Amino acid sequence: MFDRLKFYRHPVREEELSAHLDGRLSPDRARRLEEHLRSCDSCSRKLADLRALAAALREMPDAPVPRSFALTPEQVRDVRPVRPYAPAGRLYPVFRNAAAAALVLLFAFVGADIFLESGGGRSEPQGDMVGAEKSMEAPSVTGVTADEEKSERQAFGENLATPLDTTGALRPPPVPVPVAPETPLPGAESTPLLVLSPTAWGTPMPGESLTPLPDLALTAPGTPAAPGAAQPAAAPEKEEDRVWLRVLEGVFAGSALGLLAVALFLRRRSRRA
Amino acid sequence: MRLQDRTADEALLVARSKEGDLAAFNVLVETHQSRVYNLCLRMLASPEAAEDAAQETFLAAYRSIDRFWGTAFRAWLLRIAVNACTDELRRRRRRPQVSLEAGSAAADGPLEPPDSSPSPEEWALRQEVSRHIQDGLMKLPYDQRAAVVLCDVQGLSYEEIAQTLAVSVGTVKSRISRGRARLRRLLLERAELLPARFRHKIDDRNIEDGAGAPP
Repeated sequence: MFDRLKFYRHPVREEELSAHLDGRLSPDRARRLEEHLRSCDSCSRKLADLRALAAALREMPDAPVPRSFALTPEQVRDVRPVRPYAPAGRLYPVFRNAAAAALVLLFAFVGADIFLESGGGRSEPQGDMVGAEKSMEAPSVTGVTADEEKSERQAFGENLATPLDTTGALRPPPVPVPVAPETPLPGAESTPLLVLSPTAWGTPMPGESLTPLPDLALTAPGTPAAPGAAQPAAAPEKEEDRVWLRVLEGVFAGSALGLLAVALFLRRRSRRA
Repeated sequence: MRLQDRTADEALLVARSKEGDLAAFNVLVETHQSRVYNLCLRMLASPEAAEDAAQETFLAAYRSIDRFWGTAFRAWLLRIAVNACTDELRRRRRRPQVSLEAGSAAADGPLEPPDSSPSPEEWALRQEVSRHIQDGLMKLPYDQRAAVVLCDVQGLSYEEIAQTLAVSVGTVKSRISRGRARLRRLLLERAELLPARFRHKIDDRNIEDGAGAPP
């Protein structure tokens, strides 16, 4: 007890005695310690004890090795293939960069998606014309010409703006119900942006379910394309692009997550051992 | 000069081990196995546990030799050994039927005195002291035990211990100091068990100690 109290008031810390034993004090500090030792019995005793202890530890005899620890080829055959430790450190940056790339792509595609959604309304007139040309050249829904691919972007914006197309794409097999194709659904065009919200995809617009527009193109291939009829012709294909965009976004999001998980796993692995 | 030769040889052997040259690696094993085994023995106080830990050390070293860069091969190897001892302790603690305390007495038991030993009596005395010190070491916290063993038993420099334990030199200094202080107290507590020759070195201090010099 008393011992303890005294220790806290003592000018020399125990750590310094230990360091002095190993010659690890600066000359200045060592000189002051030596001075203190001359007047302090307790410290000189402690230092003598520590010195005796260190000597005894040094004298602890080394035990002879019980056997050779040299590795046999059998031991190593199991070890070498199980070397994930070594590659783990090197593979980690690869997976980390791949995950970053997937994330960048994901953002790019989401960005494009958002851009096309908002830009669709603005480019409507232009898209209208492109759609008209297209329907004349390739009336079939499935037929894809080089021309179409070129004008894809513009047509894309166009078809997004019209509510009719979106619902039409959701039923790929054309319903064989020939309904008056000339009906251009006047009410639909007045509310273009409404349909763009994803919730609207599944729910048919009022009245629209009766007039599946893909049919329009199929049933009347040879008819001169009126501006109203042109839109539906391009619609299913464009909508398909949109679906692909979503699929790609999903793929990139999934692979980014997966790669990130692998990268984190590798890093943890490489930090161990 | 001699030392430089050895480190150059070692670098060559490490390089060849990285290429999968088992013979080169085994030269390294032969060079360091005594130190590694004795470190494990002091850390674990059981010859069986030390043997397992030493074998695991060299297997782990071979497995990860690709990841060793630099010149401090011995510190790197000893670090693996310290980690292997941690694992071994954990494993034995999970299976308590293999007691470390039981192995402690055997740790220094079957040793034959080396030729340089002064006399059989002196040798027996050293064995006795060693056993008490080993018991004391086992009561130290693991970090302090490792620092004291590396410093006082194995004679490594503070810098090399810092590399081995992956801590700063300041931390090494304080761990050694606290470990020694604790070991000293433990030995003083059971001074009557120590052989007479050693006892009069540090005995009779517990009364005077601290109270000796009033301020």
